[in-house]
Amino acid sequence: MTKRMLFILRSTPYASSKAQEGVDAVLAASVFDQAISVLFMDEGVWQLHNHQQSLGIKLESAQAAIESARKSRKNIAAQLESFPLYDITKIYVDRKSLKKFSIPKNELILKPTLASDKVIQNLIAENDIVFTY
Amino acid sequence: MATLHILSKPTREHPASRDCLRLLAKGDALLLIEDGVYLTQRNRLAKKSVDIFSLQHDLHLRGLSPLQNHIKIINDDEFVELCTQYDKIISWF
Repeated sequence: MTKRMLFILRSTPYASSKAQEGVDAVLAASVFDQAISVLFMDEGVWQLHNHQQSLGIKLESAQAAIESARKSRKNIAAQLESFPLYDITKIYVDRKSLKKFSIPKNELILKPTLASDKVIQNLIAENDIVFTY
Repeated sequence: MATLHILSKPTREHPASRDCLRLLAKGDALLLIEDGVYLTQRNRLAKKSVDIFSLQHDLHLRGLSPLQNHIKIINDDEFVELCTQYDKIISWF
């Protein structure tokens, strides 16, 4: 059964595992053919910021591989850019949060729709389930 | 299609509180838990059309009683019941 799901992503990409958990949850839901909308809010808007560098280094030994895995996190932006491949195309960003962090729209990946308070209220109202990460 | 918003942060200025309070819609309810119960000490938390609840245990632990009498104090059983009464629940943390 298809449910309409809204994911509100509010965490910065690398300080904790929350952002990664959010992305994993979105992708998992998409595999089950759910109707998904994603909203980036507050510090979560930094997940959409372009030019994030994945921390992967050239590996020369197994030891280096283990060290690298421990230190590096998967590039969140690269994972977000795969969303359209999973038919996740309803992507929104909170207008006020962008303003709060002075992020111009052209520095965002995925070309999200700018959402006002009213639009966000409607998003919450029209979805069956809301998840926050 | 009303929503239950669960808030656990102690100040209005916290980003989670701000985002929660600005997105409350008519008919929604606000439940204050954990440090969120400190918000019961503030005036005019939300519009009148929004019901406000606060967890008894979390208030008691912190030695608080709500300043405004329209804030309803509920126990854990009523918390569960409240969750069943709304179409969806959003946790703000």
